[in-house]
Amino acid sequence: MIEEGSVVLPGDIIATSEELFPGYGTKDVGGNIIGTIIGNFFINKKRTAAEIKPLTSVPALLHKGDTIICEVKKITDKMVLVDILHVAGVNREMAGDKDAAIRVSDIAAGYVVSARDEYRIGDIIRARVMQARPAMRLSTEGPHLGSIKSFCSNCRVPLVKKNSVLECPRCGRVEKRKIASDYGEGNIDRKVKFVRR
Amino acid sequence: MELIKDGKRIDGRAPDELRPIKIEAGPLYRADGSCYLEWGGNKIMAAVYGPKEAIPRHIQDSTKAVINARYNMASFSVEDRKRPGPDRRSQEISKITAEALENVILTEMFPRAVIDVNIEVLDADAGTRCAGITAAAVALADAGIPMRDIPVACAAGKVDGVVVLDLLGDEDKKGDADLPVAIAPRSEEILLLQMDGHMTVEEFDEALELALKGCREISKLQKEALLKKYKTFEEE
Repeated sequence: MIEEGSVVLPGDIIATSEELFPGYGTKDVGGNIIGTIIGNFFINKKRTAAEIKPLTSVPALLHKGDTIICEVKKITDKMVLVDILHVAGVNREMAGDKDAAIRVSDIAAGYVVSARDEYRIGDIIRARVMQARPAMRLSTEGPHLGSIKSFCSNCRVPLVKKNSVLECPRCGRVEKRKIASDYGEGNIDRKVKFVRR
Repeated sequence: MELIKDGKRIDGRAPDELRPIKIEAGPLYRADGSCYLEWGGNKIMAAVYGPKEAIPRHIQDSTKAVINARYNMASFSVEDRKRPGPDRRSQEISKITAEALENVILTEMFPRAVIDVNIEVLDADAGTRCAGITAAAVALADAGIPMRDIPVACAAGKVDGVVVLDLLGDEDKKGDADLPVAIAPRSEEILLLQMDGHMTVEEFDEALELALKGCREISKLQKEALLKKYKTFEEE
């Protein structure tokens, strides 16, 4: 086994599979644990696994608990279908499929009759990943999750927050959304912790 | 024209000597990973973008990422102006580069994604496909894309009946044979092997051994370039 903390490159042999399990950034190839990314080697003592703390930026893969920014593409009564635009705190494009869904029961803590009452097509919302695989499931339950930018369904002008509702600065139309506490501030990198119901 | 005189080649190299190589990791700020490589008269820039959503959707593979390599020669990279855009040769090189890289990248980690590898030849002097793969490998490692190894490529060939390493432009044109080889250096698994010209079985074995020797030397330079960038990064 190599020394902990040393810099590892892809293909470098770190340890043998008798010594450690393969963890993040490593792989078992023919009985040897090899590094697959550039970074510092360390041992995850809880899992007795060889892991790499990356020195490069790494591809953005979604995990349970991540905060994301997405755009509403389609709404039915029971489901909001979104496209993932950005992963909070990650300066890289997301790897793989960007489709995800929010079920009506995951929109807010209270009872929501129809998803159409809370979101409209084109809304930019902040959501939390409940499940990343096999299908992406999101939730907007909690005060800091929900719409961060919405548009007037009449004239498509960005709506302005007035108390707990949104108002169109051009036509004066008032609309209701599940809004995040920092609506309109453009904080796309804010990470939100999970709040239990 | 005599290509080998008193055991020396036209640029004064010994038959088993490489041209000078300079590798720089991460010169492009906007790419996820990049590499600039100078190999004799070759000047190559490689950039990696992704993994990202594969568009159009019919190119997606639900089990693994797709590698989309694009080898392109700049119109000013050769003596006579090259007509810009993809041609038969560059399409072939793009395909073999993608296949060589696919064997070392852990593509199964990124289903439905695409990894774009762009290789731009700014100046060409024989061996650009090898230089392209070598540069792309450094760019992939710089992009943090998980790989089993950092692939490396080098060519050998036959000039005036002598097996030589790393052919020069004139040797490539007027020589007897050319043998580009790409390997995964840890296991020495061959990722690419092409040949044109004529060699006997013994000459082929000798040329392959010479190309592998060249690959081992270049692999060290690739690792030095990456460590140079990231060791300083770590110290900061």
